[in-house]
Amino acid sequence: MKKLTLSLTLVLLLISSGAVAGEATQELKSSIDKVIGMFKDKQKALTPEAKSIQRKKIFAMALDLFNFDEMSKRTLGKEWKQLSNDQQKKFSHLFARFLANIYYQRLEEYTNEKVKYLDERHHKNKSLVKTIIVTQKNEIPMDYKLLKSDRWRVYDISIEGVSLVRNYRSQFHKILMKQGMNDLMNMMKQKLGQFSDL
Amino acid sequence: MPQSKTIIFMMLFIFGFFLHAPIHAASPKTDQADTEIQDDDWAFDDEFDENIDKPVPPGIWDPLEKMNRCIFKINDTLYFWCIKPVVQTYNHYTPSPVRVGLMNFFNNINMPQRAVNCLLQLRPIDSGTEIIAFAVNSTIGVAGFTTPSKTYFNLESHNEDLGQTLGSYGIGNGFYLVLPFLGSSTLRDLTGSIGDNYLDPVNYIEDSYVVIGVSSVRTLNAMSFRAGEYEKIKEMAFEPYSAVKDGYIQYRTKQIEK
Repeated sequence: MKKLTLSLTLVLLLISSGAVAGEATQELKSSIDKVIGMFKDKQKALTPEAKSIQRKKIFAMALDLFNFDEMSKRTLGKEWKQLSNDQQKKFSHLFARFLANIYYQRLEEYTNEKVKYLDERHHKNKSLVKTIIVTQKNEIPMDYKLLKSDRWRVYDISIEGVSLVRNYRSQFHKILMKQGMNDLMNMMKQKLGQFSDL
Repeated sequence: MPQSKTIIFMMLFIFGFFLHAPIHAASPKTDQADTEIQDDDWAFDDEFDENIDKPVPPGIWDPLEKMNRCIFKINDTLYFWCIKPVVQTYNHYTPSPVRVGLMNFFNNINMPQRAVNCLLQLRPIDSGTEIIAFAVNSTIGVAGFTTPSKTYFNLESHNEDLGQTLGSYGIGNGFYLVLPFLGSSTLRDLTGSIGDNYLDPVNYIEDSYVVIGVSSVRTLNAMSFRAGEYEKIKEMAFEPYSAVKDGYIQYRTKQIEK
């Protein structure tokens, strides 16, 4: 009887741990932990030189964490198909640098918030990982959508139900309706000018 | 409040009129590619955005865009010239525990709105939870300045309003509105907030100067927790108006789903 209960609990433990921490969650968590680790000891990056090194490191990590090509494709929707290969590359490169800069800026405000991993769901080669950011004041739900290529990479983030990709899609749609692709690219370059280059 | 009553009736009238309109209007310029639905498993695919050809779902009708953009601009200026400095000064002189206490207090007295709307959404247990939380916080929680309901009794608060209730009945957004000072709203949510006013105990104070004073403190205190948020949104956005509009609609849709 004891053996039975023991094996049952073991099985239950295995099932539960498997359900909470799937492959996608694990890869996501390890990437996020790595990034957050850099910002835990803040003193390291106070000089401009140290900051620019940190920025470069974050960009390298962001390439592991995010699937920027997929993000660009999804934010442009059907306009993406009308672009030439060259234009697609240019756009995706610009958008990647823009998002990475935003990401870096948000990380700089990091003050020991904890990330709780709640749930993971699968569909074909995609995964949805639900998390909660616990701050001193409140809890912010944050969902990651990941796509499996050589590894799991994030292609959309929803903060309190607001999807980043959808939000940019609505903006780009408006800009492309009134102006054109070239104007959009110029706007991106201008926006990037606000940040120091990665 | 006889005036607001007539406003509600007017709103409901317009509502009935527009109820069907947004469905067609929400998908402007439906090109041939948009109608491609590749998978039967539509609901699940939608969660993962399988159909990237679809134009900006869920979309919102914005017939008053010109006026909205104008008010958006005015609000933007107001924010930087007036609201931001006031909030900064307030934050500077009011320590965080005081602000949190005030926020808890105002949240607590807003219980009727949450309880009634839970009930209207046929969620009697959640509604009861709100009432119990109110009783606990008003007594042990020192007139609602602290939240023992959350910290000791683990009672979850449900931030429901009439806009969400109407949404849960299947009533669409109607159209998008930018209100002076208040910002994003929709016809449905504006109607809802007018109705919610009747459940706001502050409005039952007889002296109207006191009502204005209390409401101002409540608004200012609530704003103090969101200092810098708008700047971040603007920094991230290429087209702030569309970004805020879409963000609001997505946020509300999620709230209604809950």
